[in-house]
Amino acid sequence: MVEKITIKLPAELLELTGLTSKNLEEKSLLIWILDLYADGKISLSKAANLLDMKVNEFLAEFYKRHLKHMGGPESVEEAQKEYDLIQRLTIDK
Amino acid sequence: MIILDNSVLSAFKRLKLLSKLNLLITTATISKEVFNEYSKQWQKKIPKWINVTKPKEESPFYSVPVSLSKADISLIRLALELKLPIASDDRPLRLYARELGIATIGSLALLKKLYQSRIIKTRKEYLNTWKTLMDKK
Repeated sequence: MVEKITIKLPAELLELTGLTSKNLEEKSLLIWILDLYADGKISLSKAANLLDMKVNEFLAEFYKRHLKHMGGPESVEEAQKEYDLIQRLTIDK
Repeated sequence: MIILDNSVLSAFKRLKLLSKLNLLITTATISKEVFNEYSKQWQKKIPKWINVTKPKEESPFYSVPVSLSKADISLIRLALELKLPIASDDRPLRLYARELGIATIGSLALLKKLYQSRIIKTRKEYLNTWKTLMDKK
């Protein structure tokens, strides 16, 4: 069971968004998780789990906002190292 | 052999490159947890060249990063047990794996190797796939 916390938001958001309190809570969580995933702070699996979504549903929400994911190698050297590794792993093929 | 996480598995599935990846990597492994996520997502069975393996070791890690899911941790266990690299584009998983001495490979390295091995035959196809991967990684 995931521990929950309570946060306060301006009540005007209900009127501005037309959402109910419950929907606003879900929307806020989605925005937080999308942001954390975009910054590479949580894994894809973790993001989908936190929202109780399938991975592809989460990715659909992510890409429809034209967000970019910080993933993969962080430098040219790291990318080269990974390529060298795959070369070694497939050398006999 | 290599361990695949859902970020790479799903990316190659979306790109319709799983069968081509099999020409490069004879066998791959995923955990039961990743299989559950994948099959729930695609409602499809996993290709035969990808084994679903349950890690033997169930003892907890001392400090598991909160950024990772149960499925991610199951891959870490498999990698330590089988002494195999993990293919992942997820930074928290890659960082934690490397802290534990596990090698990682991203989709871009796999894609480049597919092109260098002429499994992806044309430069145009390679660049288009690369762009799709970068846009929707």
